[in-house]
Amino acid sequence: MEALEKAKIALRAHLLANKDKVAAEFEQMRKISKGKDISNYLDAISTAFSFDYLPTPPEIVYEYSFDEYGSEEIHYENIGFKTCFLPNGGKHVQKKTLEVYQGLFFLIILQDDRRKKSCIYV
Amino acid sequence: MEFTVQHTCSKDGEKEDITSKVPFLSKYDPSKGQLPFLGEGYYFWEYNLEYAKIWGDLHYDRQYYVFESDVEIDHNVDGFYLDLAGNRKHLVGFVDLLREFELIHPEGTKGVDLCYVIKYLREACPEEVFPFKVIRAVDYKNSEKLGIKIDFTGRGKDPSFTILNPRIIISYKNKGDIIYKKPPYITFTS
Repeated sequence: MEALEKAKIALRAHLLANKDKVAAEFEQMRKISKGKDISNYLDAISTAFSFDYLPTPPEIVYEYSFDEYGSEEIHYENIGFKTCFLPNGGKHVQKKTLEVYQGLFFLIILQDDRRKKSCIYV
Repeated sequence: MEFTVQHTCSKDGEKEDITSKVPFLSKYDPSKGQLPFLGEGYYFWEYNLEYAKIWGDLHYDRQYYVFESDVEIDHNVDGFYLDLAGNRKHLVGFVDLLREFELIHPEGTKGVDLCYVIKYLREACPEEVFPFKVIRAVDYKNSEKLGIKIDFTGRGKDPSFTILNPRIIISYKNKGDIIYKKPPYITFTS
């Protein structure tokens, strides 16, 4: 939608040119407003997160020898997020690397929601 | 994009006169407590006769008409129609727009009600900041008590669900932008 992109640019120009005036007018509106807004929603989302809500794949036991561990490529076909969040779609990722990425995945969700616009719509 | 809509209005006046003037403007006047949800404009419920009646009971002392009509909204004209009810692209873009206010103040639009924000975008900013003439949105208050909630699977501590009777409003800034496929007619009299 181009209109919203153009609107954003136009609003930015307007805000920068009228910074103090707009800030003061919004302060007035804040005083007469009663409800919650998107910022409250974001705060609620960030504190409401629980690992209980995450779907978990069935547990699969892989048995590798010492030599295989850390050197062989492992296929994690039962882990759904690999294609979205791992390099090369997770096709050639070693097990240790994958564990690191699993940890990062949760941190990304928790810490990056203010920067990635789609993340606020959980 | 076509919608069947309802508009509730007072019975005050001649029926023919009211029919010729419908829909009526929802005025923005905070001093009188008049704060239309999406700013000043002409409001309809989207296919919600039951709630149109409740609105009449609550706001017109049980003396009201409910008008019904089919309207056509041109969603192909960029910048005309903002669908905050069913178009995530519009929603994400609109939230992005609101977050621009964080450039000048860390609080941004925090704590400011939507009716004031839309009024401000429309009247205190250049037209290209908010060109939209028609806005569609969901009143999620409905989800608290009257919403028909149904779980998708019922699994987990806090099961995901959907609501089968969302309360949707459509607001036109200008009466002239309303395109009727069927002229408004009285579908219910209190």
